[in-house]
Amino acid sequence: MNRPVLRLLVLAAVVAAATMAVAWWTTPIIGGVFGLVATRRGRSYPVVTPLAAGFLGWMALVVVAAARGGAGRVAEVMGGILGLPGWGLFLVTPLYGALLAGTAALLTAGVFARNLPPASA
Amino acid sequence: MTHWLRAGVGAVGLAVLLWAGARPLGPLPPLGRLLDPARGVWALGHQPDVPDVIAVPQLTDSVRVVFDDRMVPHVFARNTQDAWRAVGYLHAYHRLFQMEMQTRAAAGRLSEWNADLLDLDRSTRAIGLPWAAERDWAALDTTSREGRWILAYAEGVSARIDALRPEDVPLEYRLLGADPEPWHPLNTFLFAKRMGETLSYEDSDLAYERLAEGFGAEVADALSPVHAPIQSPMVPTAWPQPRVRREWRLPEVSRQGGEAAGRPEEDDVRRQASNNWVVHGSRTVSGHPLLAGDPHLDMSLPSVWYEVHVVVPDSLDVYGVSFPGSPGVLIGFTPDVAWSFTNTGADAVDFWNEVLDDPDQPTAYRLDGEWNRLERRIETYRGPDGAELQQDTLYYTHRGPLVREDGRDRSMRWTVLEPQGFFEALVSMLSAKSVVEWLQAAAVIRAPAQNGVVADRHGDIAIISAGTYPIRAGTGDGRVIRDGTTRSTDWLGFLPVARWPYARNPSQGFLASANQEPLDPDADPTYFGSNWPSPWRAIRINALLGADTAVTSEAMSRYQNDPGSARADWFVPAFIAAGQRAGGTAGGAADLLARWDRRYTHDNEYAILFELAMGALRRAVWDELDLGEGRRAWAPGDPYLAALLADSAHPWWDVRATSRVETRDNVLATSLAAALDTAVARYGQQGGGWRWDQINRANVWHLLRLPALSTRGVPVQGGPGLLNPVSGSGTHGPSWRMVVEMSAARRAWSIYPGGQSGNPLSARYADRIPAWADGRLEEVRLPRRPEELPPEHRAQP
Repeated sequence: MNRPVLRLLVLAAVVAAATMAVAWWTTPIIGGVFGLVATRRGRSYPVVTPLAAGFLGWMALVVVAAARGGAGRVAEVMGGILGLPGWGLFLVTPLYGALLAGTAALLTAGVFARNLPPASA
Repeated sequence: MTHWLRAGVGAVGLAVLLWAGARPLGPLPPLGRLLDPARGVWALGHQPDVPDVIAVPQLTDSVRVVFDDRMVPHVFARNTQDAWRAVGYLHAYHRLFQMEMQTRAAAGRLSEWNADLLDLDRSTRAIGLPWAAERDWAALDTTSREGRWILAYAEGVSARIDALRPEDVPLEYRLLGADPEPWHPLNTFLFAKRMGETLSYEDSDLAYERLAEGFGAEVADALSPVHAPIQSPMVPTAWPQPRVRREWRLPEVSRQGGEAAGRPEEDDVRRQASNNWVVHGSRTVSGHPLLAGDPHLDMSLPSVWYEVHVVVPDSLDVYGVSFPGSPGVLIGFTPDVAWSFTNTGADAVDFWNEVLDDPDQPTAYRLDGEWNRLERRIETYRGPDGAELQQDTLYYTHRGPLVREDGRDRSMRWTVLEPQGFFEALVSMLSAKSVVEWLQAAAVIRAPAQNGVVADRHGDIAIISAGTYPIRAGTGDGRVIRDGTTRSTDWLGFLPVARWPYARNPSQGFLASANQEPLDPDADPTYFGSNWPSPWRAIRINALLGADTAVTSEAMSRYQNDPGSARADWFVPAFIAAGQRAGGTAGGAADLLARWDRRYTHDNEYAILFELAMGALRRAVWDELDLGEGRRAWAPGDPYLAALLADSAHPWWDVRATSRVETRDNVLATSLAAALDTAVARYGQQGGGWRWDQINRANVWHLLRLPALSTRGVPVQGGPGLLNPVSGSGTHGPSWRMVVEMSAARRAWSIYPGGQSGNPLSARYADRIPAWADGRLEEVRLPRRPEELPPEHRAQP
């Protein structure tokens, strides 16, 4: 497994663990921190990685919740309230996690990248 | 520059997402708490339907709770306070949002959730609900039995709120972006006031005054009479019923020029109705009394009711329905007695014209030649963000709240704003061993007045209209607005219990109430109220029970869903006769109506024609009261039309918009023809499209009126004026049905349109609606010990 993929999976696991242990708002913190560190270290995909990790981390938690039962009813009822199709919530939830992590990373990557020379790798 | 752009886009995007996560954004609820995959709505989907443990720190002894397969909790405690602690915990576990919403509604604090509800809050506080609840709470003797129950119950509710984890917070709070409030025993009184308002608040005195000003006192008296024009009273009489009251006369209308303010048109179904009846063992197959009850309220999800069984050895064994927000079982049975209530609908509110020292900033009101100081109360209303929305100064005379309407200052006295006596009564009712003891317990009920039927295991049956009935000065007529400048117009006291409507073990062998006038005025003309609900349901159940000398529990259930209509029986022959005489379209419609069995069954194809004809008839006859824009000065019920049928040339039959003078038969035929035209235009030709259940549907709305959380368009067998009534909008109907056989073995059946769980994501949220809509009852489980509930009857074996 190449390093970016491994990095992505580890970050997704961190997002999921923090969300489970604390709350939803840890996701942008993790995304922001990753954006900062990745930018300072000149890593590739400082924004895409947290974006994808947010999606995967939250999706993993949704799958766990679905495995415990009732997810179909949740999706149906919440879809009705939010004006989404039945499957919409399955997509919207990880998408929200992805955007939280991704925008936070975009912010920190933008702020901290200005003091650094262009990444060589 | 690119970096700054990226940072800017990231900052803006993140800010929007965080804002949307924490706060409502437009119509969207806060998305963070909602979508959080660990604690958001996903967690609610697999929340256990029943709690693992009743974790109330104040419990003094062990409490066991087992849930049966209908998810009814059977609470086994060693003392009553622990029992109500457990019930409080269970109510909060299943119905926390409902409990907070209804107490906020009574406290006038809904604007803290939604600022658009400010006007509703202001009117709630203006009529004194929170003021009165606070007074009751302050006066509560916490060492009394009812005081201990209320405090213990609050401890149970609070324990559940304290134990709430973020993932347990009910869905509705997440949608509103709110958090559950701590529970206070005051909330129980707020809920009681709220129910009192639902069941007894009417400003009909004000409407009556306007009607009299607009159309004359005689017309007002006839259209809102003290005694119903068609009698079928609750207390049996020595003479046959129903009958048209000969003394009722509708004078010719004469517009007085006053400003009749009007009220919206409404169907003939009065909103807060109910049925109950009890049959003596001499008329039942089993030889034991049978009792039935079905209170009709606005149906909601979650239901207003929560079914529960509470057992405390040697002290309490009660099964029935409780109100989330209160200890006790309101309607139910014990091994010794069974009971159910309907609303009496007595006149519980009066108004007095007051003279104030300063209309804008009053400090005193005139009383017996002197200025009496007004009690003052500042009410502050807040929005969701805590900011002050409004401040009102409310005033109170010795009678009650001062309300301003049409520029006139009036004080109000309303029995519900005084101690209601219901908890005190319940404490004794639940331990009553006989009908006599139950009646003694009911004697302390003050407000809202209720018609209670009761049966005991010894075979006694009884009925009583329990509540405070004010004795008024002068003629005793409660419809008029009184002079507030003298104490001589104040209430003189209350009717003694001995004069409350009452019957026990009558020779007819059954007793029933359906909100009709309780006493035949020829037997007792005492003023209890006016403008009584239509007696159709009472007529029908009395006919069914009178014809059945071998009643079974199945028949009791069948009667609760009976599709027969006393109203149709009264009007259809007149329509057919008039239509056939007129011929043409009316004749064709009459032929169709003649084929009708006058039953509102699912597949019936004629009920719609009759209902349309009744609507046209009402509009034609009461055209004198029409104020335009769908408003009428008054909306008389169909009994007034029924009583008018006897006078074919009465001036009210004339339709003012035409040049000729119509008679009864003209109007009946015209209405019938119009109904046929409307039915064809709206539903097509008869023969498929007129099915009653295509038109008559029940709608059980969630408390927040969210369609996704509601169950709508449920086909039901029922209709206007039937024992199974459905309002025009389908939102009102039997909120609970119960049949009890008072044998030693105790058997009972029940249903309600909802489910025990208040969690919309639970399978138990609305699981009873199909059975309810089909008119089926479910047999209740009655274990005397936890072990008696067999595994196959447990929710979680």
